[in-house]
Amino acid sequence: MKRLLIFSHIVLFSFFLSLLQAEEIYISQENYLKKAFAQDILPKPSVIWIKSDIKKTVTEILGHPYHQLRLKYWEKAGKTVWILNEIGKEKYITTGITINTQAQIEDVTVLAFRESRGWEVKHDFFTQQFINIMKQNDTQLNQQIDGITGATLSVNALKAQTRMALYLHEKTRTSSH
Amino acid sequence: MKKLVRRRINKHLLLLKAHRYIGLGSFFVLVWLSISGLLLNHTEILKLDKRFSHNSLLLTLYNIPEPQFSKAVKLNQSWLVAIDNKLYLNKLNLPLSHYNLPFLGAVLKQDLLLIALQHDLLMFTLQGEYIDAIHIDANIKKLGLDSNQQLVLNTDQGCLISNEILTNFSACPALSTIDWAQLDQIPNALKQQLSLIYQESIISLERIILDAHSGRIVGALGVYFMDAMAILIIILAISGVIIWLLRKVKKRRSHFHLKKKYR
Repeated sequence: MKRLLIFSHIVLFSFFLSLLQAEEIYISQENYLKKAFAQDILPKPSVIWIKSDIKKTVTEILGHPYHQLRLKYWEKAGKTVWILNEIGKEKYITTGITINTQAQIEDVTVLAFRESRGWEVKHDFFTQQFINIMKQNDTQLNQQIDGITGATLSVNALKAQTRMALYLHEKTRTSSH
Repeated sequence: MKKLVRRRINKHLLLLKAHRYIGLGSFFVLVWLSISGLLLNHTEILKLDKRFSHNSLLLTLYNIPEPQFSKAVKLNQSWLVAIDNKLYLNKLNLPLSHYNLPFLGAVLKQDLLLIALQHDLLMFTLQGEYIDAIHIDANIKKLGLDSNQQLVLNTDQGCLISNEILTNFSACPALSTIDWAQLDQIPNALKQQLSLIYQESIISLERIILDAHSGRIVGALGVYFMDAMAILIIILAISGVIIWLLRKVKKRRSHFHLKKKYR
């Protein structure tokens, strides 16, 4: 009986804890951009239209069309920064992704997490796995990313976002060079 | 002694009878609660929150009020209409879940539909596809196009003009002629059509199932009825356990007596 009571208290506590985790903004878009470019004056945003071939590939990567047709990104000396929104289970996860001149991921940071579960993806132990990862020919990542038990959908969302950012980075290189 | 045994048997029978009748009486409610509970547990998969009731009886039951048509803009052959907190491009409800009205006006810039809300400028295709949004750190009052077809915003911090790709705004040059967006009167026929579309997009299946689950769908009486049913179900569960325990005790006793007899 005592064990049952302790167990029910743990369940209730985790439930309230999960409610508290909902809708957290960890870093603003502006601050992330300042951090990514290591300066206070930010480059002006550029835009990429998610149309025709790009729309097709992005849909393949995400498993559904991206929710908007035009995407802003920031670029300086070959480095690009992408702020992407993707649904984990029900709500958007906003992630900042920085890609360097060698088309490698330099940084992945969860800017806002709105789901009630799967927030573990915000931690460095998970996001650091993406550093120096590149895109393979088929838009897949060139290294395996270890998942987190109980956060599969959020992990998948972040993987899809990084694949999308690497693909779009490549697209901006081919179109501008 | 016999009296005591008889009294005990009577009590046991009474409990059994009560358990049986409560079980039979709450059968349909219990089945409905289980089915509706299952449905509500999987709202996202079944998309119950995105499916809406078109049933006029249900709409009457919910007493859906007449929509408040706040503002409308005529854009070539299309109409952009604001109803309560929703925006309709002709009969299409535009996705605005992240943005707050009030709707302040709209203009067409080539093949782009630009909509001004209080702090946001939304971009849509003429087919109603969402393109992008730009947050403005000022209160927008109205929007328009200048003689070069550049987007201009009148805000509480002054006049702002956009760049060609609509990513940045700067202060308007002096003496620019601006064609500000005007609001129009909605034709009655469209008003009636939109009223119907709006009313049919309010009550989701999730809402209906949830209200039927709690009994709220038929008002306060329904809630009391469900409360009574919930109490009966608790009694059912407790009486079930008591009957099971009594039978177990009875079995043990008879087993003990048999053992004693044949020892």
